[in-house]
Amino acid sequence: MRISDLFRFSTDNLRRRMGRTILTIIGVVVGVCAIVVMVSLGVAVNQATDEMVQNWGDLRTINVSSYGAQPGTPDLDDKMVQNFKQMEHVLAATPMYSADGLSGIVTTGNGNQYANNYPSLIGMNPEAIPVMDYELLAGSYLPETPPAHAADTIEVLAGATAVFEFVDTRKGENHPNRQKYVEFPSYEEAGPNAAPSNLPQYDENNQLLNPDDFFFDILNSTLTYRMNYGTDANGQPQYKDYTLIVTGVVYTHDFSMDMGFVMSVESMKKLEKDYQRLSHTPAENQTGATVIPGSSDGTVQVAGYDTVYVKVDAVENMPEVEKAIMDTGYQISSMSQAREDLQGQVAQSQMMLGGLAAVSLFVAALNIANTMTMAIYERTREIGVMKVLGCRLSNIRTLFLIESGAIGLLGGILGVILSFGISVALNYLPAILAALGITANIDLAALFGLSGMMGISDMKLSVIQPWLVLLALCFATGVGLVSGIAPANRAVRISSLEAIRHE
Amino acid sequence: MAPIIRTESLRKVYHVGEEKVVALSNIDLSIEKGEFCCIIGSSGSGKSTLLNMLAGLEKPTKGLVVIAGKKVSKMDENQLALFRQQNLGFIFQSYNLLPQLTAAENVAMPLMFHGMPRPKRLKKARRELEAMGLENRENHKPTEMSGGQQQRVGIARAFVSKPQVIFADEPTGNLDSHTTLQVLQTMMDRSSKYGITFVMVTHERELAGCGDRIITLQDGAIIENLLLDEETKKANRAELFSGLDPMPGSADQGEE
Repeated sequence: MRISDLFRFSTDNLRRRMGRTILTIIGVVVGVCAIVVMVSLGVAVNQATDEMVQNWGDLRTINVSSYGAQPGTPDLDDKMVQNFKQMEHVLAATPMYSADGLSGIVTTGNGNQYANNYPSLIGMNPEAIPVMDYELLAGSYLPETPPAHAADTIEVLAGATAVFEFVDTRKGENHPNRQKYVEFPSYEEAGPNAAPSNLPQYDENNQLLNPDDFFFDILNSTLTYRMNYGTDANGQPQYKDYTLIVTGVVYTHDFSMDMGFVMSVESMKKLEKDYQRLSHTPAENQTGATVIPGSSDGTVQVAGYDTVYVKVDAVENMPEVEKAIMDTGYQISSMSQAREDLQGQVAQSQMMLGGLAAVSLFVAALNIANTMTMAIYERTREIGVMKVLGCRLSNIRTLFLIESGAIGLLGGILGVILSFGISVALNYLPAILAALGITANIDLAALFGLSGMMGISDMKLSVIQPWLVLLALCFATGVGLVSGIAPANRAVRISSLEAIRHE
Repeated sequence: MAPIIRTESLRKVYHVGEEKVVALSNIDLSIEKGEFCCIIGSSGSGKSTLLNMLAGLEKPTKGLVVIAGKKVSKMDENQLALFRQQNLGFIFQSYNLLPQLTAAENVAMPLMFHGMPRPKRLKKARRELEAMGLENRENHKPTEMSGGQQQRVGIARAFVSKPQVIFADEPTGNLDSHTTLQVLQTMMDRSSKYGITFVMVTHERELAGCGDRIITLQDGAIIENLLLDEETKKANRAELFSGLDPMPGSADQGEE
């Protein structure tokens, strides 16, 4: 038989028992609809988590910690940083070093008018800084080898909001203009984690374009770091001053980094050494691991840097590099790991909901099989006649498979259409409820076992993507075909003698 | 010339519970090409079983059926389907038209199984229906036709592919006597026109008398295999068809 004839014959038969066909199709529609809507909820949550995690920060940075390491793990020192750097897919590795016990303030202006009393200073490898996706707002990154200059001069990068950490010491503690503050655009317009609206802006000649927002231009000012290393015999604090040369202003998207200053690890070590010498603090020559008190899982803290950042070339390679570092024994954390955890959790919930929905599709499959079996019983004689008249067995099987597949496909198409309707309704549900004067907070995240989906207030409840449509149609047709296999085989086995049996 | 249908010591045994029932034993017969052959016998004589085995609808317990040089009794279902498409036609007692198809579509069905394009096979089917005097009934569903008309559609369906052999199991069993004669005449005319071998099972001896050969079965065995001479046939036909108007449209419609 020709394919066109097979299709005509099958659809004729479906039309012949229209009522039953429609009922069976409705079963499929319900099943497909349940699955598509359930999956669309999961897709929506995934999109929201993705958006959220992207706002958290960089997905390609691994945070290696000296805490929580396995016993026997080597020290997290410069040698290890070099090792990380030489791993495949690693673009850069740098300690995030802040010396313990160091205390001091940063000042600038006439008579040190402006002061940051609790400056945050981080030491990094200069060559790693450009790779870390820190946005250079003005000036240049740290020189990789410090230029020759006076001994107590240090190059630093200022964070984008570091300038807001300074107070006007001439104004009293409670004076309203003692400090200028970071401002953020309205949440409704810019969404979560938007950049502050009053970051310093510079032209290509490093001239500050919005000087009114600040007390001073942090890039073109002379800063002093006044290190406090103790008190003299009279109880007066003792200071040592360093000149800070701000080579550039960086926007790191990490608010704690943006408030502070970045210098080279070498500079940080020099500060630390000076401090230890002047304050007569013995240098800790600690090597090897320390068992952390209270750690029940047998992990230790290794010596060396507390934290090392490793930058990876692509998100896809994160798991590989993460595994390599963990195999060395370190505990790590990263945004992409956090994202995977979240996505895993969502996928699990999605599977569960999808599984529940699949039950209804399974019932629909039984329905199809039942309908087809009935059809074959009714048409036993016809099938016999067709066989006697020379219809091939494969054609008979195909006829019935087309019928059951068509039921599946039609159910799939209608189910997808209905799903789009439900999806739209779900997405407008809060608005509809609000219009009706009902305040309801639909917490989809909670349904997926996630709490604190912060900053995703306008997330969609349901997202149907093209792949989901395609998958649903294929799945529905597949279910139809599979349910038709047994009845079709039964049809093939019908004896042609049935046809000529007298009634 | 080799006979078109030949059987060798055909035997069929049915098992009914513990009991063995011998439906046919030692059937040896040959039917020549173009013969109009009638198998008669009382109910339970095994005539339908014989027809079913000749047509390959049932497998013999023992023995051989050869049609047009092919061992039909050795073929599997797929080979049989192909063989039937090309060589065999069937007419049933209860017509067995498909209710969802029109008369023309029913007639065209064997050609559809053969893979002939729809316009071409419907054209052939219409021609065949015209030859049966059913030119106004082409687009009627079976339920909209009388029994005689339905059976003529069934006959058209058997003839449409111009097979070598047509098997008919009590084709007039459900018809009144007048229609029976019309239908019989049509079948005889059409098969002789195209040289088609026709094997018909009936329990009415007077109908069988019009054929070329009468095979009489009793208790599963052939008790008579009679080849009628021309004169007897003529006499029988004249007697049977006396007073019967020629069937409308049975005149040849000029084919091919």
